[in-house]
Amino acid sequence: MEAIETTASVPAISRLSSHPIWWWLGTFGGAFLGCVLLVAVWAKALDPAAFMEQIHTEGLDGFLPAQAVALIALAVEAALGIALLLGVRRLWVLVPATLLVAFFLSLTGRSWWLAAHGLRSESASCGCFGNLVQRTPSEAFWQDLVLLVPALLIAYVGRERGPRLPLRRTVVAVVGAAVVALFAWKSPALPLDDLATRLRPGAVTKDFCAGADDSRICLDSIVPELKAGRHLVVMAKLDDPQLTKALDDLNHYAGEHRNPTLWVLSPVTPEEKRAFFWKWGPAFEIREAPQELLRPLYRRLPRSFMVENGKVTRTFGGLPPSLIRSERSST
Amino acid sequence: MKLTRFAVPAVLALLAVPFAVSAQGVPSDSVLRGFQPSGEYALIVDGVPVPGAEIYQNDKLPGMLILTSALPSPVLLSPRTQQAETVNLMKVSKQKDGSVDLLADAVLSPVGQFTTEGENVSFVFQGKKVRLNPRPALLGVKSNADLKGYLPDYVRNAKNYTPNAAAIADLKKLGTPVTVRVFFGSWCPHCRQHVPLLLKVEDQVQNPKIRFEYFGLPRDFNVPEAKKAGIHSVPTGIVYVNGKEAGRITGEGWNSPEVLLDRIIAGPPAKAAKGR
Repeated sequence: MEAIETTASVPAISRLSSHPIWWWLGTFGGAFLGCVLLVAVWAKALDPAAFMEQIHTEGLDGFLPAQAVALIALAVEAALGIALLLGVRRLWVLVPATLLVAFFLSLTGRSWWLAAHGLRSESASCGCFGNLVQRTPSEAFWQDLVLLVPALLIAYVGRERGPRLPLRRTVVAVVGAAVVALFAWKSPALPLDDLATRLRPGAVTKDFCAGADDSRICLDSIVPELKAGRHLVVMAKLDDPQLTKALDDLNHYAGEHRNPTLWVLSPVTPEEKRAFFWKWGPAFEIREAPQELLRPLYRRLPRSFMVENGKVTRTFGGLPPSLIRSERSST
Repeated sequence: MKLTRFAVPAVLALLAVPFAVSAQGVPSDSVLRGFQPSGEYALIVDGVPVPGAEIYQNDKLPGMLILTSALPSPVLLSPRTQQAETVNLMKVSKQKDGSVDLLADAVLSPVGQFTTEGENVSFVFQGKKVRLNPRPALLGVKSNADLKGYLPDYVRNAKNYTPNAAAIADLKKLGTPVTVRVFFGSWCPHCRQHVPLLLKVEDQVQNPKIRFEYFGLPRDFNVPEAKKAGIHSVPTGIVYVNGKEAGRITGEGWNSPEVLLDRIIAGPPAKAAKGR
């Protein structure tokens, strides 16, 4: 703790707020807010592509490319989170933190308003917690309000005063922000799909849902067959060259009776699906799945997973390695 | 009409199809089997729609088999080779489950290449211009039989569903007038999974007090009935008890619609449905 003013020259309210109880409350509030911001940073840094999509959707990439906006936003959020966690509660931290909280609330509030007026899907949230957390726009707004605002207000209480810059903690925050930005930049190439998405071994397919009320849809209703038996599910775009290149291998795999049943999930229209059938002749079934349902399950397409009696047993970045191997050996 | 030249023998042969196996004692082909009825396409021969054409799809081959009296013999379309081939009708065997197999001794004779334009397929067979076009959406108020007749997938999925016996028993005993109006899209893949479950429920309930009707919507939902009912997604089932909306079957409620329907009718209204 640095530079808490307790002199008689400070106004009464300041004297009150510099009481140790207030200091502890403020420290707790700041640390809590810092933790929330850092969890949000972690979730977004794991899947920066999803964050970039959100930035683009919100129209925040007018002056800079979405990637640059994402990295800057993550660095700022990380720096503020670390500073608050380390107890740096000065105005130069709290004011930007307030602006950030206000910005998040405006985004979630706008999403909620758009969804309520049928202008945006109910399953879309602001993406402040990446793809790890499934929230409807209204849930996102209220959760952010409850998590961020009280902690922020408490953080203001008993805040640190004085001109001195807490040098070591500031350096830690700046270095931490740089590390986060670097991590976010490199993370798409790291094998973190299971961490970054809801699709991981042990997950239950009936829990993969999107939307709320009327428009709620779950993977189990798109491929009810997953509830029993062994299945290999490939999530892919039908115009992805990776998929069409591996089509012979996929067809061969589907034709082997001892293999698990092969399914391809794709965010396509029935027209695109029929056109694909006639052009490529797949020997497996393609099921149309809405993008809102699939997006939290991958960082990059294609992504595949094995399911046994409704439970995910393995995941693969891209197509399953055995298929890729056979593709290589055949060329 | 030129088609009549083929019609009589083809119809007679079609009638003989179910007996092909027993008559010949030949087993089904190990590969060319399991063609399932498909409601995705309409057949057009020389510019004239052929309403009674039977079109079967096999996702494993993959391939599409056309059985119709408008063509001299069945035609098999294979997307991988882009080939149309013909097969003797006597080598086509209809199975009890509604699927179709080719017999092991079936011989495929090439008709020629077919061409595709997106999702449309066309080829020439003995001078006839044959087209397979996606069927238009089913629109407006329809019955259980309409849906099953139009979309064979619905028949298949209804057959595979076992409704909750207690809920069915409750619905059978019901004395209050109830109307269940289901807004659906024949183009919608989720409706294909869910609506057949309610068709099965309707088949089992057989209670004149409960009226089921199915309203087919276009892709943009842009019809007054959908706007008036506030339909944002399909399928949505609206349950009217004594003429008043009592609740809706939506989202996960479709996993066992009879249970939710029973609960809505029993009340409390509206909230029970939304809570699903």
